[in-house]
Amino acid sequence: MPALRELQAAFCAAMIAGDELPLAGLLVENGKPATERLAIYRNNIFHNLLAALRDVYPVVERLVGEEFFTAAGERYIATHPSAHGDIHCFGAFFGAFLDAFPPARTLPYLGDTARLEWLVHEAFHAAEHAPLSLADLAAIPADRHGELAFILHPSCRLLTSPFPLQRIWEVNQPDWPAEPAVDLAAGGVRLLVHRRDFVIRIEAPSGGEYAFLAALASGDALASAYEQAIEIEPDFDPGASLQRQLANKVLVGLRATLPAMSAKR
Amino acid sequence: MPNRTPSACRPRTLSPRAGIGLRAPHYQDILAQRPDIGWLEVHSENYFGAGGQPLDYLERIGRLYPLSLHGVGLSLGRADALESEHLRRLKRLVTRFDPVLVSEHLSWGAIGGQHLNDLLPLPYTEEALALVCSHVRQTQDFLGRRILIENISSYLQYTHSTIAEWDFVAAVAEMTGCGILLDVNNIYVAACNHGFDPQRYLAAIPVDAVEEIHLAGHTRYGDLLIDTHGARIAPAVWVLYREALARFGRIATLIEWDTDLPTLAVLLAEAALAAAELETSHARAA
Repeated sequence: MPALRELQAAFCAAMIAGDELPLAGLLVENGKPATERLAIYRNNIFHNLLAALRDVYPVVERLVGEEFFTAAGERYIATHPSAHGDIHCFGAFFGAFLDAFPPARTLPYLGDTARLEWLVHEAFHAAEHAPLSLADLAAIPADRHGELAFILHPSCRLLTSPFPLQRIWEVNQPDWPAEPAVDLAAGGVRLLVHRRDFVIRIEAPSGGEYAFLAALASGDALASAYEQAIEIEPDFDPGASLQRQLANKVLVGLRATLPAMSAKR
Repeated sequence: MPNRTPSACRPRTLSPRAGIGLRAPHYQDILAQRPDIGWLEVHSENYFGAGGQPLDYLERIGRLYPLSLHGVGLSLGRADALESEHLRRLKRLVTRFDPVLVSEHLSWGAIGGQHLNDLLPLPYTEEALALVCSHVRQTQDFLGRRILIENISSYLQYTHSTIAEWDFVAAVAEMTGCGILLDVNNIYVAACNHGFDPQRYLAAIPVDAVEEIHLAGHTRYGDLLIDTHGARIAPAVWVLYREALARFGRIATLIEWDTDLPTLAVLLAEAALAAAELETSHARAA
């Protein structure tokens, strides 16, 4: 009689790798071979995990079709076993997996498309955060604004790609009215994914604004973020960008990094 | 937390009525129609996210109906430790929504960092019993409240099991003080698949421990029944349900439906059938 831990490890191996030998003699056959009984569980597990992938990656599935998606999913499940009891966490590495999946070699944008969909999934479940208003900023002396460090909404994600990902995503939405035509030569994108009022938005800020937001997201103060933005876009207007992203509920708070300022107040 | 309603405003008592499993495609219909239904149950893990629309819907719907949290991923029967992050997320949800019931399955689904995300049967041994009891106690201590454990459907049994499943369920309840969520469809499915008398199962379950009953549909594949949660409740399961009510009295009863989710109206019609059974059993007992 195996210890429970050994039995469960052997069961896992039988489900994922198909090695049923260690379970020999441990299952009651009772008119039905053990291998058929195990197949029911393997099938259930595969379908649960595939359904979870399908929920997160509808655009990838539209691009490759159901049969290809199922085959890719089967391989992914076998090579990247689930690591969470919460099935919504399953599938985080599907983009990297598709990059290296030989049958997907002719679709070089597939991995980035999957990465975008994972960020959309993360944004959907991210924490709430109350917005920040211009009035909140007005309370801070203008000569200290350069020192301000901002909190981005917890749903904000930044992504760059050499492919026209925003377009790929848009034309593969179920409500897209025309043929899903994409000019792959249209060039790359810098994307901001975020959730605003429960709606997921995929936006393409200018190069300067993307660098500005990326710097703020990493905790840099406004003055430093501005310098990084004008390196990319010399006529970048930080005031306009701040106003836009406050209204867009992307910049939602101030990091408490100004001890000198609070002492002054 | 946004939109926080003081828990005192929430419906908090569970009367022995019929309820349904709340699934995302029905959120708007529930809010618009506000059907006359006793309570709603959700899968806990569907609300493990930090924020967003699912939690907002649950917040709004939870102001109208008593809620029950039903976990599918804790894996009480795993031979190694329960995951503390999973318990923390569950507790966050319990604290926020103050549900009338919190339940988990009497099964395992993970070992050593690898999850199968399924409800797998345990061998019913003294070792497994001690382990499940320790995990139930740990969960109850951590959450600061009693949980219910639910019997599962199964398609295999282990040759080294030494305890009947019904005695195992009863022992866990007796040793830990947890309640029992009796899934009548699961008893029927397991009884058909393994060839035991479902009456024997019912007779072994302590009357005072049962706080909730589940009903769902199953599907026949060859000579096995599979617990698909994708069909109407089978006539034989309704018969067994009547027998359960005769033994356990009026117990809050949930209609579960997960695959090929029908319209809300179909779910409510199934719940109305359960409600009628609850009324009849009450009249019979009176």
